[in-house]
Amino acid sequence: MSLENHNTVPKISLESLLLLKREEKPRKEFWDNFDRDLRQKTLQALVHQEPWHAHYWQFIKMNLYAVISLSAATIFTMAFAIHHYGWLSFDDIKTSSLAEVTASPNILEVKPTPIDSTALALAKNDPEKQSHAFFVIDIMPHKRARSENFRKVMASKTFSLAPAVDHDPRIASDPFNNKSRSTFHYTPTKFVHE
Amino acid sequence: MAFTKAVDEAIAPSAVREQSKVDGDLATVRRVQAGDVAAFDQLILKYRERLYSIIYNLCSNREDAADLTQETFIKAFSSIKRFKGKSSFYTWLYRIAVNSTLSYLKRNRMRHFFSFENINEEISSSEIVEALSIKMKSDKTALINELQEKLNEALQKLSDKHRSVVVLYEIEGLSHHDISNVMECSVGTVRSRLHYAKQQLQAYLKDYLD
Repeated sequence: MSLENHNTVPKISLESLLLLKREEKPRKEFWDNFDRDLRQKTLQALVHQEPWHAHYWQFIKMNLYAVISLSAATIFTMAFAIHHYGWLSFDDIKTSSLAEVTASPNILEVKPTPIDSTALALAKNDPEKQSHAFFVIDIMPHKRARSENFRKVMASKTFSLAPAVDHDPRIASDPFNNKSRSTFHYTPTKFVHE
Repeated sequence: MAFTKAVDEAIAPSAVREQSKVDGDLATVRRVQAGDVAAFDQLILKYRERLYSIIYNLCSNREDAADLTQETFIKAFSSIKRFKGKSSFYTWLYRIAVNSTLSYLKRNRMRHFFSFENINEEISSSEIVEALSIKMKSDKTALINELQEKLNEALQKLSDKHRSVVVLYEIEGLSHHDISNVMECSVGTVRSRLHYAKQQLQAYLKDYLD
């Protein structure tokens, strides 16, 4: 008897259970309302033109997490960079318009400032770099903070204040001793007459 | 060799049917693209029930399903000029439907609730319901309502991608290849998702299964 039951009753599989979902259907009246609503919405969509920026907002909404992460990463990177290197002021950029002048004897009144405590002292072992560095620092107002001096030198066009002659260390270490051969690119605002 | 021939013969009629369906859709789509707006009504009439069924089974909410089906048709209509005919029209349409529904579900994850559709009364005389009624020793009407709830719950426990594959394959009867087109993934991914999803469903519905 049980064997007979086993043969007549179909096996209940997952697939057959899922097929029952096909029987969940709306009634016929539903489709009348559906068509009416759809027609209205289609007309509205035809009339309503989305502004150009709507697509961008839609994109941002769709990728909200990615946009937030990217913004946070950008802000963090900028904050880190500003904290470590500071702002690059527009004054520095203005100095890019270089003037070509001949050094006058008056400029010798500029008093050299020791640079032992600056980052450029790192170039001490290289005579060529050292002379170059001394010259730059000598004519630049420098601050107590090492990073600020370093930044000023690195960001400034004054960096081109190397002798426009040869690389003779004697000339380089005292570039003003030979007026005829000392033509420089310089930024007047960087000179300090103490 | 004989096996291959037999398979070819078995596939051939359905392939021809599919091809003619695709060609028929393409001709209608070309008419819409040429400015015959009324031709789009034919496509709505042809696909509205299947589209509604897919969306309803994905979200288990009849009101949302109705809105999303309409939204899908509007999106399809407004971007039909971009349809080049590289894939069949219905996979393109299904893709819009699935993507819209999954986006909607993602946006409303926190306030999602069920609203079940009516069940065809003829189901109570089906073999499977008879068998379940005997197995569970319960009244058919109560059993059908309980089963509807359990099936929808089980489907909603799956991830969106796994649910989509189950709905398209087991309920809507699409092929693996069509599903891979709709979901924009490989056939292998479809198979693996289906396998995993069915394992999960079997665990959720083990009380009803033999």
